[in-house]
Parts: sequence; C-alpha cells; structure tokens
Amino acid sequence: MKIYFFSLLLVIGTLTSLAKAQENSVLLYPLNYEIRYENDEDREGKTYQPFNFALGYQGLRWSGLLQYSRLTDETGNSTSSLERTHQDVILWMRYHLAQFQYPIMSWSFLAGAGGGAYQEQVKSTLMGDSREDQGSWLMLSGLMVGVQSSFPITEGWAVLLSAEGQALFAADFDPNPLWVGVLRLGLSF
Amino acid sequence: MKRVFGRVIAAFCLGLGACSNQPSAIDENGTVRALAPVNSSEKGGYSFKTVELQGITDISSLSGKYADFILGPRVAENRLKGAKPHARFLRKSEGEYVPTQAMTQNMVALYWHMQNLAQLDAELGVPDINKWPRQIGLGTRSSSRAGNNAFYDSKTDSLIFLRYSYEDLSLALNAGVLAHEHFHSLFYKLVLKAPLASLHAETLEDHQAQQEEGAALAAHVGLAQSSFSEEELRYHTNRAWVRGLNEGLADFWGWMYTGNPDFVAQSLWVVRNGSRSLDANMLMGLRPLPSHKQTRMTLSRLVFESQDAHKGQGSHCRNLEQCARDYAYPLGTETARVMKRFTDIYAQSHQMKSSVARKEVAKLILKTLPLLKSEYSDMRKRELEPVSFLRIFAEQVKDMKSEECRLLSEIMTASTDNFEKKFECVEKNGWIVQEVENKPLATQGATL
Repeated sequence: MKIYFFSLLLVIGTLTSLAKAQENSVLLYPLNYEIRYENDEDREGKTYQPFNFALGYQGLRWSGLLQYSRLTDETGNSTSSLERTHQDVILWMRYHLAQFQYPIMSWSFLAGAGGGAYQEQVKSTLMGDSREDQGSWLMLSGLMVGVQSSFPITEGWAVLLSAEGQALFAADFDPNPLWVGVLRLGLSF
Repeated sequence: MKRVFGRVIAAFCLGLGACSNQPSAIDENGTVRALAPVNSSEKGGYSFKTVELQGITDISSLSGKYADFILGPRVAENRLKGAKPHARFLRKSEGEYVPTQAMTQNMVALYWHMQNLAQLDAELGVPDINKWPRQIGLGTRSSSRAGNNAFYDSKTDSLIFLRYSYEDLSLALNAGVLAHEHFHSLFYKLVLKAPLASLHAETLEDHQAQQEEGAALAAHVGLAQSSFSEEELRYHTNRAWVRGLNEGLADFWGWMYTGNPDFVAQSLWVVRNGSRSLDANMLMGLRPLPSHKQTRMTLSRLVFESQDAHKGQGSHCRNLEQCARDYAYPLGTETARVMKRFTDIYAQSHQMKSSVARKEVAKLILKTLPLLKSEYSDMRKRELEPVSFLRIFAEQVKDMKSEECRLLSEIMTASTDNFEKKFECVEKNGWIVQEVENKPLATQGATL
C-alpha cells in the first residue's frame, strides 16, 4: 500500500513540475452555454439561454474577458405581442486565486468583477402592424466566481473549459442582481 | 496581492448602485410619456400612441394618482393585497418609455384609461363617486382553469383581470371593457351599495369559490331545482333584471367611451356572433325589454332545461341563481340596444356628433341611477319592471324631441304586460312620455 502511495506522489510531483501555466495568452470562447434567471411577468423565475461569446487576455494571475450576451423573448398573443431583445457587453477583470498545474492540465479558481452596458430593443406588434424601438445603452456591473481548466494541445495552444457564476446588477433588472451561470469551451494561444 | 484584490472588489461593490442607475424621465408632476396600444377609431381600430401618464409616483410598478396595480392579488381587510408588478420598459433617448413585456403594456394602457375615465367621471358630473387611485389586480389566478374574464370586485372596490389566454385583444387593452367595468363601480355606488350590496356578488373571493364549486357540482347540474317558492322566484327574477340593467348600461358605457358597439367581441370570440353587439339585430330589430312575468317564465324554462344539461341538452346554468346570473347578459344587451338607439336618435334630433350625444345620454343615465335605489329597495316583495327604469329615464330628458319620445313610448308600451295601460307622447313644453289608459277597441268606436 505504501509503495503505491509513494509511486502516486512521485508521478504527480513529476507531472506537476512539467506543467506550464497559459500565461500571456489570448482567450477565445466561441462556444458558451449561458443560463440566466430572470423574473417573468408574474415575477416567477424563468430561465433563458442567451447567445454568449467571450474574448480575453490572460496574464499570470489576472485575466480580462470581454463577454457579449444576447437573448430574445416574446410575450403577448397573436393580436398584440412584444418581442424583446436584450444584449449586454461586460468587461470582466478576473483574479486567479489559486492555480494547480499538471502535465495534461492546469486549473484555477477565479473571482472577478466587471462593468459594462446593456441595451434592449423591442418589436411591438398590434393587429398586424409592427414597430421597432431601441433603448439607450445603460450601465451594468457584475461580480463573478468560477473555475477554469486548461488542456495544453500544442506548444502555446490549449483548450479551455470553465464554469462561472455571475451576478449582474442594474436598476431595471428583475431580480437585481440577475443570476447567471456560464459554461465555456474555448482556446488560449 | 490578495489584499489588493479585496480592495478592488470592495470599491467595485460600493460603486454598483451608482453605475446601475439611469436618470428618470418623470417630471415634477409625475408625468411620463409611454407607448401604448389604444383605441384609435370607433370601428374598433387600435394603434400605438405615445400617451402622457399623469401623477406617476413609482415607474417601476407604474403606480400613481390613477391606478395601483397588484399582481396575483388576494383579499385582506377589504383591500387587494399582493406583490407589485415590475414594469419592464426600455427608455428611448427622447425620454419615451416603451414597454418590453405584455403585462407592462397592459399596465400602461390601463393607467391611461383610468386617467381618462377619472376625467370622464368629472365631465359627466360624478367626480367624487370613485376613489382614486383604483386598485387593479393583474394576472389573477383562479382556482380552476377558468380565465379570460375581468370584473369589478365590489368588496374591495377594485378591477380584477383574470389570465387571458385567447388570441384576441386582451381584456386589459380593450378600452370598452375597461369602461364597462368602470361603470359597474358607478352602478354599485349609486344603486346597489347598502342595502342591496349583495346583488353585486361578483367578488374575487366569490368568483374563486364559484369556480371550485362549479367543478364539484358539474355532475349534478339542475338537480333539486324543480320547485321554488314564489318569493324566491320573484327575488331571482328581480335580481336578473337588476343585473341585466347593470350589464346593459355597462355595455352602453363601453360604447359611449369607445364608439364601438361590438367592443366585447374584440376580446371574447364567443360573442362574435353579434350576441353582445349594441347594434340591434338586422332581422329581429329592436326588441322590447321583457317584463317581469316574461323574465320569470324564461328563468323557469332555463332551470327546467338545466335538468337535461348533464345529458348534453338544454341550458348550462345549474341553479336558479346561476340561471338568473347568466340571463342577465341577454337582458342587458337588449337594454343596451335600446339606450344606443335612443342615443342615435338623440344625436340626430339634437344635431350633435355621436360622441357628444353619447356623453349627454350618459349624464341622463347618471341622473336616473340614484332614483332607482328606492325603486329597487324591496326585491323580495315587489316585482320590478324594466319599464320603470325607462319611465324614470324618460323623466330626466328635459328637452325631449318627438322622435326620441316616440321610441321610448313604443318600447315602454311593448315592454309592459299591463294591457290596460300604454305610453304615449304628449307635448307639454316639450315632449314627455305619459302613461295613459289603453282603451279597448270597442270603446274607441272601431269596427271589425
């Protein structure tokens, strides 16, 4: 038993020494699954799956991530309906609290804060006539925590997997903050 | 490094509120410009219009001087209680608020119509009958699947909107329906409120109780309803008439406010056959109001037929009370049609626009209502006759023209069972309707 345990420590120690953090690299997350909880008209929680895209840059301990989200929902009926499109852009500054490195992967705990803006558009239809209105861009802010895993594939390239929980704040949000979960699949290079 | 990070987060959190707020576009009078679908023509057209909502005190729940919205309300201490809805808008750079959810759009339209109806009350001479803001229950859940309804709750003095699931114009957007429900509050306060309050039994609590009861009793429709006491039958016949009058005049109010005689059908497809239209049926013409005796016979027939309803035949009311309640609507439609025809003639003979004539007739109705209170005070002993309403109404028309008088006298004569009397027009400083003896043909010297 002791020999097995010793061997395991030896392997982990060797592999850990070989691992490299993906520092000073560009982060690209084209495939993201976001789930967002908003209150519907009855003030009951409703889940949305917005389109989510993110692009960033990672240093040793810090990373910056620019995230874009967009969702559409429709209320009303065939006589009078409202199609709302919400989009937001947030720049996250994330601190990698703890990093663990292995030969085939590295992972880190993240916490961060972000600021950005959101805008809403609405297509209002009444008895067959439609009009579109666009609101101003308004400020929003957020806090996030998450984990990020990195799987090196070639020299300088790695596949990234991350899971994040976000809280987004803005006066018009219902609830405020909005609770968001994001699973990301991307690349760093 | 961790301490630096903590400070950054702390500073960020402090700044969250400041970052998140947007300047309000409400002026010092509480005026907000918002987009709403509103009635734009007397043919039932609706279009988007930027309306000015006045007296707004809280834009996030759109409450203010004229309306106070409650989401999924319950009743406590004779008031609606519950959460405030969250109004969802986008704000355009010009400051205009545009609803982004259907319920918010309903709220904007409701607030605007309540504001207009408050002004209309003042214009019609009854500024103090209703208290403002009006409580309005939205998204009300019924304990059964029933919905697609709106009603005035006399207990809480509020308007209740049940969930709307049809594909037509939502009840909350239908200006005629709002005016209809608003009229019920006037009728309740001018006619029914103590000692007749129980006549307007449509309260949220009762409504929910009826829904529950309905499912349980569905299998026993009409059972044990084969006989009634004389007093019971008289009472429910009277009740059908008073409800019918309330519904009919409320329909008139909807037409008066919108100019659309078929406003109910815009939201409720079940009446798209013209059964609630204020335009008289082309084939049948304007019909007299049924007398007490005729209403009683109809109710008896409906109750009798209800015993076969569980076999898929006959009427679907399940007891005398419900049959009286259901029959109030056709009774009301006939009443509304008479009032509309009178108004059309009034507009012609007084050379007024229809919109002006409608308000003039509405004023006459408001003068008539308080006079009905004593007339209707003893529902169990007296037999109420629709003609008495028309008689009191006719007395309020001070500058009656001959065409108006002729219509009223003909309808009144046709609406009474007493063949010894009839109504005629007499000119005495203007035309009045007078009750005269209906002489038998022989005494008039007629020959066959």
